[in-house]
Amino acid sequence: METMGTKVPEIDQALVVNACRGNREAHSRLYELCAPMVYTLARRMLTSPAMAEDILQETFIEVIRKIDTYRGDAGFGFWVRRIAVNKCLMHLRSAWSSRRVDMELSDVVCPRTEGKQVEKQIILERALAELPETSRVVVWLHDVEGYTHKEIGQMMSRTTSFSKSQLARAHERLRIILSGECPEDEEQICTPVLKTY
Amino acid sequence: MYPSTEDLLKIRDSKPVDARAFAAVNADPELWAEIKRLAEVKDALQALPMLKPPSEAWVKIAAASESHPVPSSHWLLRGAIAATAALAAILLVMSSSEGPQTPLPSTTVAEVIGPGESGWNIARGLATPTYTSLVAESARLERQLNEIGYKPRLIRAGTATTITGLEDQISLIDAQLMYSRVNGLQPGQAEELQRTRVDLMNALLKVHHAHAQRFGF
Repeated sequence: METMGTKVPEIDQALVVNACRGNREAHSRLYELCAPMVYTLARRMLTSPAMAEDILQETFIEVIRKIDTYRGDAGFGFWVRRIAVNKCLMHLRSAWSSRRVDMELSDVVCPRTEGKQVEKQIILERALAELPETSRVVVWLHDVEGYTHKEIGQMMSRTTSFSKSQLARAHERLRIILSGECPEDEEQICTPVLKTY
Repeated sequence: MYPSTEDLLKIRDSKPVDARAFAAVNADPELWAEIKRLAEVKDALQALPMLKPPSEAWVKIAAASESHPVPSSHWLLRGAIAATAALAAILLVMSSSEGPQTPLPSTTVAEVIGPGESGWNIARGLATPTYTSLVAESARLERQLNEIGYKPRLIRAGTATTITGLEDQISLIDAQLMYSRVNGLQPGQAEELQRTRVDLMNALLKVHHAHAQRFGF
């Protein structure tokens, strides 16, 4: 699968073998290599830093516990990413999780980027966060992580067509949000998504 | 034929597209400009920076993975079923003490049963539901729960405890279903978990509706 967006790290097989044997240093090294990918993915999909941290922890606890079930048919990073995606989807399926969404954009800026580039990224971050959860997840999984519509449909227990239509809806909404338009019937997408719980 | 956004996205991603849609795009520079814009949005999304995880996260993960043994699927399954039975009993007492209930807003499995029947019996009463139908029912109940518009500022401790208990049990089931994708389950166990989840979701909806009705929403 093509690697885009949240960069999937290449993991040395020897490190995985050591981790399978229960070597704590190997676990720690795997975490160092994969944590930014998992945390970024969770932040983009869920928007909440607190929930993203939960996903990070749950993912790595599962990775450590289940590492002996890794069969090596995909890269280790992809295996970890799949666990993280499933955990994010599980959180989104939980009805009450949507009530504890909060948004902090202070830590989303890459330290290497400056000025207008930063501003553009913040605007895009906000637009992404304003999308309905399902649309946001689909656009991220498809356009950034490179999953196919078929894979997304399967992961979300939906059809391929559902994924396609959600992607189209996401882009239509992004266009409206990014252009600053606010039609009456779409008022909700132009309002801040800052929620309390 | 005017191409839809789906058609434009297919062209953007070099996927097969209806010939008439492609011809329409070819004839309209504005549509090409829109495809270019869609490609730029995709590029911009991919260029968003990676985020640094919280510095103390690994310490928590290391501690958690050392201190908790891997849960047995049988233990979780039995725990979930036992908890469901206990919660169903609590709800039964609650529903009888809160007076008559008005029906839920849309047709649900819960509507067709009489007062006093527990959620556990609701799913049992379905004509041998398949795993797929249980998943669909579960998703439908999730949507219904999301549609409850009221946001209670005050909530009785007992109700809050019941809600939290139900939510925790649903989380437990979700976790178990997640693990099952990796480890697999015995035949019938996944159905049993989904059936339990439907019961719990039904119970959670009932609690929320009962609370909403009490406060006149």
